[in-house]
Amino acid sequence: METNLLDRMLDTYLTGRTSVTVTLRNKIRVSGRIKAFDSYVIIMDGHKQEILYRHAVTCVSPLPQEEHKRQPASSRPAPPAKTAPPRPEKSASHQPRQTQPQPQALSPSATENLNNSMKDGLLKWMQEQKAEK
Amino acid sequence: MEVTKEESRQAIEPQFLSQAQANGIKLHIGQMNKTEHEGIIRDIGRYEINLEENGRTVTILKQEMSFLTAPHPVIIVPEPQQTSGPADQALVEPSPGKPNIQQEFLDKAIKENQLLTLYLINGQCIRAHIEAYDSFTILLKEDGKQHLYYKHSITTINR
Repeated sequence: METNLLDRMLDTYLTGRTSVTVTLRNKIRVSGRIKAFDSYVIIMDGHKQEILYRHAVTCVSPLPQEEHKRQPASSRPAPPAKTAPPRPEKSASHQPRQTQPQPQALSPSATENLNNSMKDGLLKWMQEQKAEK
Repeated sequence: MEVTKEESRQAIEPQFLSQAQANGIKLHIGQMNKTEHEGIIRDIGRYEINLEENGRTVTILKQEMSFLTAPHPVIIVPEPQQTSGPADQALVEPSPGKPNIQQEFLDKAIKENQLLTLYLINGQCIRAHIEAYDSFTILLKEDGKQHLYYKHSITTINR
């Protein structure tokens, strides 16, 4: 019998950069990648950073489409590089996120909002530049 | 290593979980917040289990589990009258000054095969016969199904 299975699973999700859904006691679901965790809290890296207390966690599960890429338990330590989706760090917000089409957490509207705000910022900046000239 | 009276009692929960895992029995798991899961046990930890549900591995914490239901008996409990009757007496008797009320209540219910009504923290109510119990769980039977209820999710038991 393992002593801390949850720690092991969290570590798997952390190293495999798997998107997970964490269900809390009050049935709220938090989705995103795990950024870090210790024995009391989990830091999530979703569309905004969150800190979850582990005493409020009831259940941890990977998002459906992520699970297919995971190998059986025996070959778990080596996540295959091929099947892992390319993760462009900076341009992630420009394209629709294929890795997370989960409707509840990162809906298209959320990314659109992000895009719009970025566009607005860019426009403002351009106008400022023009004004300076 | 000295074993106390409470520990010497047959542990139901690890037995139930490992049997269900070994036989690949599809379990129905209810949580305290009334969310439910159905799947096959993959790993058993001390404080949590991994359940394979629709092809994904879901980690569920035991502290948040309310009950596990198997469609058919997972562990066979010996009849209390013939086998463990004298042993039970020996277990209960040595502490006359400080009776264990819960143990007496549950032992009596097992022996007399009483129909119990359990009320849970989340308001649910179950009527079933008790088969066995250990420190943290109670094993119930109800029309062919076997239920394992965690004591931490129970508020009251009525006869």
